[in-house]
Amino acid sequence: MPYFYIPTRRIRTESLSLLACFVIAVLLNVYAIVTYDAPFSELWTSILYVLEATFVLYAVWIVLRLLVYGFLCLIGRKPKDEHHLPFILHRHERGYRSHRQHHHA
Amino acid sequence: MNRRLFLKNLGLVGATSLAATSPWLRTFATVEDSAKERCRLGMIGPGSRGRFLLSFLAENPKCEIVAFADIYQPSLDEALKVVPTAKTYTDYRQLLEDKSIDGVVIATPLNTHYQIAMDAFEAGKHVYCEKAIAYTMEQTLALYRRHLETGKIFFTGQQRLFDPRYIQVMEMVHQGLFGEVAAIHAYWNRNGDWRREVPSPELERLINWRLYSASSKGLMTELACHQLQVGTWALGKLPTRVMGSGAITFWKDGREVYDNVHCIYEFDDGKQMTYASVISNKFYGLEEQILGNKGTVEPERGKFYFEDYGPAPAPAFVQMLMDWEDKIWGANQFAGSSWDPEVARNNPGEWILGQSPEADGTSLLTEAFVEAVCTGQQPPRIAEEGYYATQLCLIGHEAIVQGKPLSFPDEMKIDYEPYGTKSLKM
Repeated sequence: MPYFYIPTRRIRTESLSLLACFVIAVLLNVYAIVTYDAPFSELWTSILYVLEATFVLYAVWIVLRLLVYGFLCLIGRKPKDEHHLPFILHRHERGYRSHRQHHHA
Repeated sequence: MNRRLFLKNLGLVGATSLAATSPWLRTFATVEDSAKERCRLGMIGPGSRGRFLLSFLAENPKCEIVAFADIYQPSLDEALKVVPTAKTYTDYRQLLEDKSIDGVVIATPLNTHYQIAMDAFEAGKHVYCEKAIAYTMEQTLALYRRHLETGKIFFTGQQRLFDPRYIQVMEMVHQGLFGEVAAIHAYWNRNGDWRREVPSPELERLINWRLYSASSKGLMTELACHQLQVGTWALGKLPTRVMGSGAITFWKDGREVYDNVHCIYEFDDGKQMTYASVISNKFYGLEEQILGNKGTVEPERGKFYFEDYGPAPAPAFVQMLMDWEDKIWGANQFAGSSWDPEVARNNPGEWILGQSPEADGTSLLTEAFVEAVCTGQQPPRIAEEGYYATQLCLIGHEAIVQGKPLSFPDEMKIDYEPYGTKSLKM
């Protein structure tokens, strides 16, 4: 059975992406509060909307990256570093080998 | 509601704003000083309205009802049940000859007000006259002038001037709480023939005097008179032009006055006051809707409503997303929001006095008259408000009859600073 894991770098990259989306959503909320003359308590009371927006932005970011990856693959220029792609689970070289060695033994 | 409770509830005693809005309430300022004074009153016309007034006067310790005059014996008999010691006359002039009587309350048919009130002034009596105070505009002016010449107290039956709801709400209107008042919609709707039972056919015109043009001008003088005064009180000015229409559309029973009237009173700045009365449908009852850009007042209901009432606006974040959506996909391109049915909003409003209205101002009006007679001091503006209320309903009726817009005649204007009017001759 294949063995997958999420590399630490991937986790960090995706966490930073998610955090960036959250910051953008919060800034959008601040902009909306100022523009629509709403109370600043909406920074807290609208937090669910902000979280929703965070995940929507993150999903859009995933789709964008997948599109770019797909396009590069199509033109035969597979990116050297796949770490910019989300949720691509990499087989751990050593873990994969040891698994096969164990299997063959 | 008694006087003390009324003033206490308003919390307006001594307030300068009260002096501007309802200065006639100063009458009550002398109550303590005149505590031991009494006045003797006679009532001319103790019919249904007269006896309603009597129910308050008879309870007033400062007032003694000493005589009744009426040409209809059953009315005298009913009045005697309330005040058995009173003398009775079938000719009001006999009552006026009684030198011990300080003032009279006149609650007779409209066409008789003028002569009785003039005779009462001539006899040196103070006068409370039910509205409308006279049958014609000329009579109304003559009566007002006679009041000024004699210096006698002159009250008219405009009880809203003493209704706590109206006093409170006029304070608010004049303070601008409801923004700029652009229009007033006054109406009084009933579903009934307005007839009283007549024991014998020859008494028809005597008892149902409201239905015949010789004795009444119908809905305009009997109902509109109250409500038009509310409009001028709120706007603080007199309309310059009146147009109207009326007909007998439902109660075709031999009556001579309209059962369906609609009038528009136009002010110099374009503001409008409409008046409508239909007596074959009572769904909307009576009201004087004062329409400001920030709120609406319905004093009869005892409520006011602010325009910004409604569900809280969506959070700014959602508003922003919706605006973006509109920009990307466009709003309704075919119609827009004006095509949505703009039915009245379900706004529960707020009570003017914090609770449902309990009574109108009739008891306080009669109490103020007694107080004024005791002290001999005419309260400011009360005669003038009554004067213009009558003139407005009479000119409205005239506009209906003539079928054309009428301007308020300059020669009918009196010196009245609150409405900015000046008399041409006195």
